[in-house]
Amino acid sequence: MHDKYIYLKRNKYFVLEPEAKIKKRKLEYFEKYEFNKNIEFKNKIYGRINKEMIIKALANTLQITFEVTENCNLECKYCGYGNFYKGKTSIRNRRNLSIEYAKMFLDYMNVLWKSNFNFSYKKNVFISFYGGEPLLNTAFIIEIIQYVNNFNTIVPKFSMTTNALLLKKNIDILVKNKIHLLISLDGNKENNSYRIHKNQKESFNEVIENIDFVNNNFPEYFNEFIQFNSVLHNKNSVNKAFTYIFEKYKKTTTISELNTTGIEPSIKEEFWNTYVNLFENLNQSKDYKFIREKLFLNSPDINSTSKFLHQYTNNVYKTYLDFFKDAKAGIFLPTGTCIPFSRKVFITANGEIIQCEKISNTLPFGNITKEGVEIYFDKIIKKTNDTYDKLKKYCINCNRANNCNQCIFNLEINNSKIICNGYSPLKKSENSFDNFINPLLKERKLYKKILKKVYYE
Amino acid sequence: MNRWLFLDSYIEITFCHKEKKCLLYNTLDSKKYIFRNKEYEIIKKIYYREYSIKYFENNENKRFSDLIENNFLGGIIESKEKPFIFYPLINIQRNLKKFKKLSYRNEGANILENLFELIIFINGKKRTLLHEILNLIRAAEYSSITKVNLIIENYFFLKTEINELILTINNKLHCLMVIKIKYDEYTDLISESTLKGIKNYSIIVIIENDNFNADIFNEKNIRFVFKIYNKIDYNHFVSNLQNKKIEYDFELDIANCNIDFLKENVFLNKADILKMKVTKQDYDANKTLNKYFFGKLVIKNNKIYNRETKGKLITKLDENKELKEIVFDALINSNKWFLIRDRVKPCKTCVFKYICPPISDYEIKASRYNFCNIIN
Repeated sequence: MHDKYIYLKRNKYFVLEPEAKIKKRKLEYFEKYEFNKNIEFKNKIYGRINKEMIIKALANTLQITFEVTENCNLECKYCGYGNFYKGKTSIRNRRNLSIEYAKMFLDYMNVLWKSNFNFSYKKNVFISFYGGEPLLNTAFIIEIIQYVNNFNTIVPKFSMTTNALLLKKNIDILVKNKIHLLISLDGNKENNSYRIHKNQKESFNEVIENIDFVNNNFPEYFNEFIQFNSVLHNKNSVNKAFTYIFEKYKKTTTISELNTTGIEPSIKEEFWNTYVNLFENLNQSKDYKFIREKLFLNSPDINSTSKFLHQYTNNVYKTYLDFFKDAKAGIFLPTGTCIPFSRKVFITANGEIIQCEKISNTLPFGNITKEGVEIYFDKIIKKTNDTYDKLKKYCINCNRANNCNQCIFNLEINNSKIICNGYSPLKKSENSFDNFINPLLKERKLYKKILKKVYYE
Repeated sequence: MNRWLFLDSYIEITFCHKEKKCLLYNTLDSKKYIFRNKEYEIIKKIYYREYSIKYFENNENKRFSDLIENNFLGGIIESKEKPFIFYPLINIQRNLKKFKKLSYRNEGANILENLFELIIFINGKKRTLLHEILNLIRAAEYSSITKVNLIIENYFFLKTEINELILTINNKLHCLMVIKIKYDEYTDLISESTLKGIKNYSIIVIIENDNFNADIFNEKNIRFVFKIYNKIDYNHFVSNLQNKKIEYDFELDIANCNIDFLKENVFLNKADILKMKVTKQDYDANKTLNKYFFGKLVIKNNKIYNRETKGKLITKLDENKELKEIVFDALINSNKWFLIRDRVKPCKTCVFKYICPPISDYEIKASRYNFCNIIN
């Protein structure tokens, strides 16, 4: 597990490895109260999803994201729909999502929000606009906001990811509707040079002019509703992107890596020349400590340590209900896959309903057509439960089965082969806690900070 | 190389600073250790320094560290760096009190998961707003509800309403229904056909005096509650119940009970508390909320309260609030579900405050929180 700690799996305690003179006695003590009770827990990971679970998840979802348009006014080199990527995900037909389809979906949701399946009161639901560049289709955005504002079943909040080129033009809409913006900006002019127009002209000056305009003229909106995201690549670094945005706007930025799945084989080399690993790059940063502290959960090692503390220690209770549950009773769903739609519903520009943008849209979970909204309950249940069945032999032999993070829709599964990066066989002596515990050893206050301040939705 | 004295992560500490005293509770084996004065001071240092301090050996320290080590409470470790201990620190993800400070969080999200139990009094003192009660039951269909208690008086006159209520609970909620009824109304209830199609229910029969037919003890699936006021009643029932294979409890009229009787028969002694086996989960619960009260709504005389005894009025049935809003109000605007011993005198200064059972209705009725012989 870790050379300094013994993990008491059943009660989820990490205890210091005893010194040699008392080790035997202490291990015997743990044997009596802990070790010999491990087995029964493992066998309960045979839960399966059903229709009621999916409907409940949908009725209580946190976010509905509309892919407003496939159009974009930029042609960024590393775009997920660009030359680096192959297959279906890269096909863009410049479609706009039909307003009628979006309204049909909201009506479908409103029936669920009115039903007993919705067990939330005055719940914030994020209605998010995604693209392409969503501000190329403001008619859609305005109409959907007006439409959803008439519902009395939820408290809608609005958000959008934008390249900021049309920010100045549309600022009134954004401010009036308190739309949370995530602006893509990779740093200074040089750092941002992959974010280019279709005619290869750089977008940086226009983007900065727009952001400055909002900052100068709408400071309250800027402070409360605007966040930044920077994509990491070979023309910037964590340090450069972070420092530029922090110094210019007194804001931090989240840093994303390039998507490493579905790369077009013919330009693999160019892709890997462009790609930069976030964890390594952050570690090499000049102001590593400062940036890491500011990034906090957006720093990859802190994020994984936080998840580790939440899953592997017994200090974290998800809800008050957990005080009443017998942790050793019940049946658990295998893996870390969300119940479909529990976090997000994503509607593509052509009306497909998918679980989230992280899952390839080759797997629609439903569809919106002229005839109405259809969720493929049977298909979702079959696909999910069949995958659970295929994984069973691995899960029952996996050290991490009770605390798994793995989403089954991101696994490579076919009839003969299964690749689960998180699989950790029971027999294998595991040292994989090192990556999580070592940041805690390096920075003691992290433990308290995570347990006092981190609340996942 | 330094030597460090540490406590293990499975050890919980409760202080009584006023008396320079603390309790170490081992959540693995449930053993409890009280330390005072100098040892209390050392433990206080360990606690405030994240479960470890530098160790310098002398006779006194050695005796203390041996005690810690021999009872598996912690130990000594040699290390250049201060050891890192995963000391206990609770984090409740949907901590609604925190949400008030976090604007992006959703206080009302999944609110119905906090509804565990309904206690419905039907007594005919006021015309029951049955339609409104049935609507609430329907709305609780996907909540976390595990039990509905029907406390019935005047069954004969309220038969129609009660039977409709029983059928709706059975059809809509997949939970246990407990019907509490006085002995003299029991026969009427059981002769009704409504109960015959109900699977998951149990009956509690209240017996207030000797005026009952002992044949009732032969009936199945019944619990009995004997109302008592003093030791004479208690002894009387106990002697009569000897060799009877029945399940029963006593219900005390606390307000009229003799204090000596309570001390002898109800109050917890130190020995009782030392025997208690409290899980880490229950220990944390006792730090956070009242497990007896949390998640319970009481419907009585067409009003909804957050607790059976001296509960706060949440709403009136004729206000037609949604169940979600009612649970939200009970949770957010009232502290009763969170009434823990750390918030009441004299328990708040007691080192056993997180080991003791939660504050009970009896204590509320009696307006005293220490039903124990430890702090007087």
